[in-house]
Formats: sequence, structure tokens, C-alpha cells
Amino acid sequence: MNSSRKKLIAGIAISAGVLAGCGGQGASTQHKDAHSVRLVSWGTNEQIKLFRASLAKFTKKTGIAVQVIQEPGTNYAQKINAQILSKSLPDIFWCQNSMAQDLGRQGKLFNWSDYASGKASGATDAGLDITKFSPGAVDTYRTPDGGLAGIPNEANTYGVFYNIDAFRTAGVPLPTADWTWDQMFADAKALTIKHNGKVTRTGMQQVWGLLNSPPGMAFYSVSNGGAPLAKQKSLVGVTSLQADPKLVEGTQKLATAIKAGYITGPDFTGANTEGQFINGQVPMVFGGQWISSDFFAAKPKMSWGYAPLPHGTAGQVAPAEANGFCSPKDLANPTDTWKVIAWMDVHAFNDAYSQDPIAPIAYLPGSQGYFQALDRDGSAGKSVADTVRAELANPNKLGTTLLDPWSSKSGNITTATWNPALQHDKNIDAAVHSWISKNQALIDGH
Amino acid sequence: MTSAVTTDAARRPAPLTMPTGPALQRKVPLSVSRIAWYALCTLLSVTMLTPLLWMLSIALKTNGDIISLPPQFFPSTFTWRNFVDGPREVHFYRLLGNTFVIALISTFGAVASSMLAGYAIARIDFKGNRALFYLFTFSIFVPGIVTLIPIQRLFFSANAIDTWYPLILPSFFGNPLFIFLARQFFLSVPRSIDDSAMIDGAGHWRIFTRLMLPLTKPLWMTMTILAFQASWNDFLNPLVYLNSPSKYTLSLGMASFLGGLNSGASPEYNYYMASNLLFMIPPLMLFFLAQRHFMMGLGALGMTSK
Amino acid sequence: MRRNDAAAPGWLTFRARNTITAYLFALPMIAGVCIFTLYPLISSLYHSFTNWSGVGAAKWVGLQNFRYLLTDDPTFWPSLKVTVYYMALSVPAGMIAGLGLAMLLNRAFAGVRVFRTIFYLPVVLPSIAVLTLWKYIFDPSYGLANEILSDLHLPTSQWLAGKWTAMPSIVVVGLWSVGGSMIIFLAALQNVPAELYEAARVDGAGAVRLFRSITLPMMTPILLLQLVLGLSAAFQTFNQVQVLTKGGPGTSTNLYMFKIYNDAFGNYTQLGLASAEAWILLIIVLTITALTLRTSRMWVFEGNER
Repeated sequence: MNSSRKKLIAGIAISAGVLAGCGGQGASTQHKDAHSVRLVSWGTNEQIKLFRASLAKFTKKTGIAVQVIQEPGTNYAQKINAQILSKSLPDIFWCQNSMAQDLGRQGKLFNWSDYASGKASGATDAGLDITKFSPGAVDTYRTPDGGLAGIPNEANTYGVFYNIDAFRTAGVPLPTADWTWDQMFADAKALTIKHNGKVTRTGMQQVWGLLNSPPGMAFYSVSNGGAPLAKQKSLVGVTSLQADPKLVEGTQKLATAIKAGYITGPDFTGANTEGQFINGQVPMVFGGQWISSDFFAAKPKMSWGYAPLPHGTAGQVAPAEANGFCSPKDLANPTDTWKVIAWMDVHAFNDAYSQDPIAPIAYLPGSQGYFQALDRDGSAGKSVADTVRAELANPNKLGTTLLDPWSSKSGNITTATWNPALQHDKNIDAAVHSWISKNQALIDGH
Repeated sequence: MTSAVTTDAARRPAPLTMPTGPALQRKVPLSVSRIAWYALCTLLSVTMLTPLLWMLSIALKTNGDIISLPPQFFPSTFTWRNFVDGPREVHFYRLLGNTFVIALISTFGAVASSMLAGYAIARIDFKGNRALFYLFTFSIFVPGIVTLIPIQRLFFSANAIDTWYPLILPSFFGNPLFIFLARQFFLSVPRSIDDSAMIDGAGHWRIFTRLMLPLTKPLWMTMTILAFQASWNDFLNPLVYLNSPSKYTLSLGMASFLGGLNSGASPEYNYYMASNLLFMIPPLMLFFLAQRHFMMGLGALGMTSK
Repeated sequence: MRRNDAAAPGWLTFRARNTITAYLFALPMIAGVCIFTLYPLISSLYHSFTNWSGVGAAKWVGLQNFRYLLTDDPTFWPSLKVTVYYMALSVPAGMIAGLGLAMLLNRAFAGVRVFRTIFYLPVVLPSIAVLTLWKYIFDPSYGLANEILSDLHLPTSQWLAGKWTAMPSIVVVGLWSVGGSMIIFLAALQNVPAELYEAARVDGAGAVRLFRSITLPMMTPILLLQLVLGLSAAFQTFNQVQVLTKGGPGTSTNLYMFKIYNDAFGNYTQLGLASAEAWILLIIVLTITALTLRTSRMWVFEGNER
């Protein structure tokens, strides 16, 4: 028993060494060859398959091999952080505005501005025309020193999904492309059902908290002739914040509606809002256009539409928010990588999203596939397409989140100061000014 | 307390044989109380199993079913194919192989290093025995988050990124919880065994390998089960250290079903649940087969001494 | 007592040889503690006094992080409060449930092994899959939980979406995995010597008296261990919050560990701040452990020397 045990232990130890070595060996042999570009995406296996198919065409055309790798969306920031620490960032990785700004300002990202402006050699061959981006999209990726931390890809728009049947039953006129804020509040009120003073059906559920946040209320302010939160509309490089009376007015209207139960507030989690909408139990849902793909897949029995962010007395404002492609500072092959990025924005999304409308692309010509797919989805698809097109084309853009390093602690201030006031309709004016001054203190102390 | 408590023999369960059975055993035929016991256990089991059945139900649904509301318990069609298609999408069998190799090697490392150190602490009378034990016990309470980033930097500066070394090596350096368990368990092994072996001229190594290992089978079986489970289910470490999909472990690979950050695509829950159900079978089988030893090993935790 | 071993040099006493052997045996573990516990502790302590993004130089800021946390951060004290609340709910509930189940399954009836495996099953399942499943189950409109409640004509709940019900819902999820505790208590129960019960029964003690005077006191060492480990683990709960509630609604489930992760890897990497928070966590955990151990002398049955 003892000698056979010894042999067993020895055998395990040897195979351990061998196998662990195999695991390690891969790293060195797997060294990127000169023409292979690594692209990391957090998409599902389906999406990755579609990207690969499109990029195969790219490889045939240019001879540049592209490796698409999936990284889990959960803990994504932690993964990217680990890759930064280990200097193993992929050539291109998906990112959000905040991540790009954070890493860009720390000098960890490749500066694409020369390629975007066409100055770098080989830049224009790729076919990506910086002017064809949705207005404002690129600004959210520009760092204050003039660098370009990322190239936008999937754009986000926000609006209100509405249940046409519920509106008709309640005798409320349907939202239109230029409906107003007051109409939105009034509709929510009219569609709320109460039983003995308790709300049994909320008029509008918010599945995304944009309107419940100060940047969201800035949309109300600007569209009604007021000032935005900061001079920098993209909320990049903010040095001073301001609270316009219109901002306070909008917040007060929202707080009143929340208190009365017409609209959900910051404490609402929206866990099953989509399901309720699909089953016709919620007349209005505020959210981003991306949840429409769930609605299309579920094929709800009622007819529905998607209305844009409302109009104010002075015009209509749209959000400047997009995911993007980022690259590490020590990028080995900028020209080849730029070509891949260009292909993705110009062709790959068209190919992939024409099968399944996941998101519109900030690079407008790259959205054709998305709109084609929407055309197949009936009147609801047309409604979504119209709203998305309008919002993307709108030159009046505002950023949706604070994007500077000092704002890392801003979320706590919003949670402690803004949210309770909004949820319970308490001293809105004081809360807004308190939020502004506390954030200003963050800016000044940074 | 009666005098029975103070007798050494009564305090110590016999480590060399299976426990004689729980203290409350009654040899009565199917009585009312027995039926009631079965009924209660069955009720509780059903409660425990219902979420699992729900998991199975999701795993069997088609892509259309999983988003339809209200969710039905029974899928419209029993898509057993999901158990084949889902795993195939994530190269299940390659990742399974990866996970097995990593888990087996880590388990061996953890058990070997912990048994060695546990024997030393529990059996060898040497200077610093107490201090070392307190040091090891202290490290049980250090939260993982405190050590997360520094350990990462350590491995990265050793260029161990995208290899399995960071997943396997740490286990070869001992596990403080296992040391604690070992010390407790060794209390039940009579000193006379060590003493008579030493009289015969055996050194510690011989005592350890020839005598103690067979005697403490429940102990290292317990360690094996726990170490295997921990390595098998580990998600964060593979996430941080592995960059190439061909080297991923299963837990990491299966996360790809869940999709990304505010992307429009909905998660493929059916494939995810199907893969997870398959994923949990090895640790579960290990537990079932080694249950007796597992409980004996854990029973040592309650031993006291001063 | 000198041992005759021709290989040993004459000047090495028995005790010295013992010490060397012991340190050799324990070497991997000692190295492990130094590399994986002590070094990271010191490194993260250093970083808690800096502003650091993870790469490059860390900027020394002295006590700024701590001052921010203790006085300026509006989510620090609320999250500690919420974590203590969670501890107060989950630890007693888990221990009572585990002990209850263990007592229930401490029989030799046929099929008890199957029941034990069923109750242990949830422990083996990978946590992310389990939590995703529970999110489904707790859905206020369509989840299994409310469906069952309404079938039984009981009032339904908002579960994870309600300000007061979110935390208890998380505790319920934890209770589902009580099998781990159960196995440990079961093992401890089986180690209570049968002679004690027989002697007491001969003296005429009933079931309740048996439990109170024999079972419970004999279990106190293991209860203490589970209590200490449970408190420490409760303070480090993270997965549940990340998958189920993300800290909401409001801040009602913003557990401390979740806050640390957010501050570390959220929109902006603030590893210096996160290190400071982690060290505060360490101090809290050690304090709680020390306090619990200190008071344990009053209620834990020590037994006699081995």
C-alpha cells in the first residue's frame, strides 16, 4: 500500500507539473502574430458569432486576422482592471463612457484623435468618416486635453414605451414625436388607477433611472429654455455646476408625480417592469431603446409604440451616450486596429444587427442593419425606428452621467441627498442646491 | 454532569471504526412518529428541491419560452436538446477537462500541504507550536478583498497572466481552515500510537505516511471534498487570470450565456441553466459517495481541548 | 528521552530535531501565510493611505481616505448599519435552521442519506446560477414565490423590490443553502456519546431535558465555531447583492462588501479608498471574533483535557 501510494503521489506530482506547464506554455506560444487583432466583446454567443462572420469578410479583404473573444459582462470592470495590471489588455475592448474617460485620463488608452481626424497615415483608407457620427457622440469620448479615448459604437436613446390599447381605453391621446413634458406628466396621471386611495396601476414605471437623476432633469431644464448642469454639455471636463430654476421646476414636477404614485421614483427597482409591460399591465415605461428587443421577442398582444424624450418650450434634447471601442496605450498595430474598428462601425454592425436589432450605432451609416431589422417588426418597429433616428440626428445633445474623476464620489451624494428628496417630495429646492454645492466641493477639492 | 463526562474513553468517539450510530436511534417498526418524520422530511425536501426543479424547467425551455410571461412551470416542448446545444456553445467538454485538471491538482495541493502542516501542529511538540497555530487561525479571518489586489500584482509581476499557475499554486501553500480542522481531528487519535511508533524508531515522516494518513481518512476526505468544491466553483480567480478562452474554466465559460452590460440581447437562460445542472454533478457525486467520511471529518470540529 | 538514531548528529537533541521536522512539514503553510496573507495585508495597509488607480505610482494622502469614510461618505455608515442588520438576521436564522435540520436528520431511518444529500445539494450548486434562479423566483409578478403564496391564499410580497422586504429575501436565499451548516451540526450531534443519553434516560430525563442539558452543552464548541465563522462570512457577503439587488431599493441592501467592490471597480477605480474600507472591515471582523471568543468562556462547555 505504501509503495503504491508513493507511486500514486509521484504520478500526480509529475502530471501536475506537466499539465500546469501546458497551461503556462500556451501563453508564450500564443503570442500574437503581426497581423492578428484581438477584439474583446461582452456580447452573447449569438452576437459574437455574427461579428465573427462579418469579420471573416474583413480578413478576406485585408488579410488582417481578427480574434473575437467573449468576456463576461458581470465583473467586466474587474476583468479590465486585471488586464491593465497585467499589461494584457486586448487590442480592442468594449467600454462605456465612464470607463473610457477614467482610463483615458489616466493615460492608459490609445489616443485615436489623429486617426479620427485623418492625419495619421492609413487612417482614411479605413473608411470611417468622423463627421458621420451622431452629433455629440464623439464628444463624450474626448478627454479635456483634446485626446480621443475611444470610438463610439452602440448608441443609446431614451424614451417612453407606451401601450396604445391602454391609452385608447382611457381616452388619452397618444404620445407623438414632439409631445411635451407636461403631456407626459398628465398622461401618467391619467393612466394611474387607484383603489381606495392605493395605487393599483402606476401610470409610468421607470426601468432606467435617467430622469430620476440630476443630469436627467437637466434635459427638462434645457428643453424649456433653462441652463444645463454645466457649461460642458457632454459633462466632460466640468469645472462648475449650476442649478437653473427650470431644473428645480422639473424636479418638483417629477417629485409631485412620484409622491402621488403616478410615476416610480429612485427607490423603484423595476425588476419586472418589462414583463408587466408585455402583459399590458403598465401603460408607460421609461427606458432605453435596448429593451425593445425583449418586447419584439416576446410579441406582446397589444400594440405599442416608443416616444422620444419630450419637447419643452425651447426645443427637444436628446442624450449623448454610447458604448465604445477602446484600445490600450501600447497598442502594437494602430493602423490595423483602426481598420478593424472602422469595419465594425461601418459594416459589421449592419451585418449582425440586421438579423436581430440589438442597438443603433452612433456611426449613423452603421445603423442601417438595425433599422432594416426594425422594419420587419411592424408598426411598433417603425415607432422605435422613428424615435431612435430622431434622437440620434438631434444636434441638441446632453450627457447623461458625470464623467470626470471627481464624480467617482458623486453617486454617494446623489444617493444621500437627491434620491430621498425626490422619492418623498421633500424640500426639492434645498435638495437640488445642496446636491450642486456638495458636488462643487468635490470638484474644488480634487 | 455525571461522571460519564469525565471519562476519556466516553468523550472520544472511536476514530478507527464508523460511528456506532446516532444517539437517538430507536428500533421500532413503522410507527406514527416515524411516518410523521418521513412526512416532514419529504415536505422539507420538496421545498428544498423546488428551486432546482425550476432550474430544470428553465433548462428545458425553448428560446421563446424563457421570455414568455407568466412563466409556465412546464415548458411547451421538453427541449432536451438544450443539454447538448448549450454546452456545445461554450465548448463544454474542453472547459470541463480544464476545470477537472485544475480542480484535481489544487485539491491534491491543498490536502497535502494542509495535512503536513496539520500533523506538525497537532502532533509534534516544538517551539513555536502555539504561535504558529494562532497565526494560521488568524489568517482565516482575513477577508479576501484585503488580499485580492496585492496577490494579483504578485502573479502579474511573475508573468503568470493567462496561465493556470495562479489557480493551482496557492493551494499548495496550505489552507488555514483545513489546518484548524486537522488539529481538531488529530485530537481524537490516541497519542499511544505515536509513542509506540517512536519507540520502534520511526521518524515523523514514517509515522505520518504509514500510520496517520490511513487513520485520518475522514479528515483528508473532508478536505478533499471541500477543496474540490471550492476550486470547481471558483469564478473570480479564473476571471482575473485567464485571457484565452481555450484555457477558461467552466464557471467562467458559462457566464458567456448571461450577456453584457446594457446590451440589448437577452441572456440565454435555458442554455445557462442546462449547463449549470451538468456542471454541478461532479461535486455532488463526490459528496454523495464520501458522505460518511465527510461527516466524520467535520465531527472533529466540535472537539475541545486546552 | 533520547532516541538512538545513527543518522542524527550527536549534538541534535530530540527536541531540536522535532522542531526542524515540524518546521519542514509546516513550511508550505508558513510560506503561504507570508506570501498570501502577511504580504497582502501590509501592501493593502500601505495603499489605504494613498490614492491609487491600480497601475503606476500611488499618491500618498495620509488619513484622507479614512477621514472621508468616517465623516464625509454618506453611504459608509448606512452600509455598515445594513450589514449589521443582515448579520443579526442571517446568522441566528442560519444556525437555528441548521441545528433544527441536523436534529431532524440525526436518525438511522432508511433513506436518511438521501434526505441529507437533498439538503446539502444547494451548497454544491454554483452561486451565480443559484442567485440568478432566485431572482426569477422572487419576481413580484411572476415568480414562483408569490405564485405559491397566492395559491395558498397568503398575502404576497414585493420580495427584492420592497424596501423592507429586500433584506429578509436575501436572508431567505441564504437559508436555502443551510445544508452546509446542517452537515457540520449533524456531525457534531453524532459525536455526542450515546452513554450520556442512556445514563440520563435511566435517571428519568425527558426529550427536552436531554436536549437542554446534554445535547446543547456538548454542542457549544461547534456552535461557537459556526457563530464566529458565520459572523465573519456575513460581513463579507457580496454575491447575493451583486446578482439580486445591486444594493437597492435605495440603500436597503447596500452591504459593506458590495460597497467596497463598487468603490474599487465601479465607474472609477479607487483602489486606495477600497483598501482603506477593506482594512476597516478586517478590524471589525477581528473585533467581533475576539469579542465572541471572549464571551464564549461563559457558555461554551470546555470538557476536560485530552
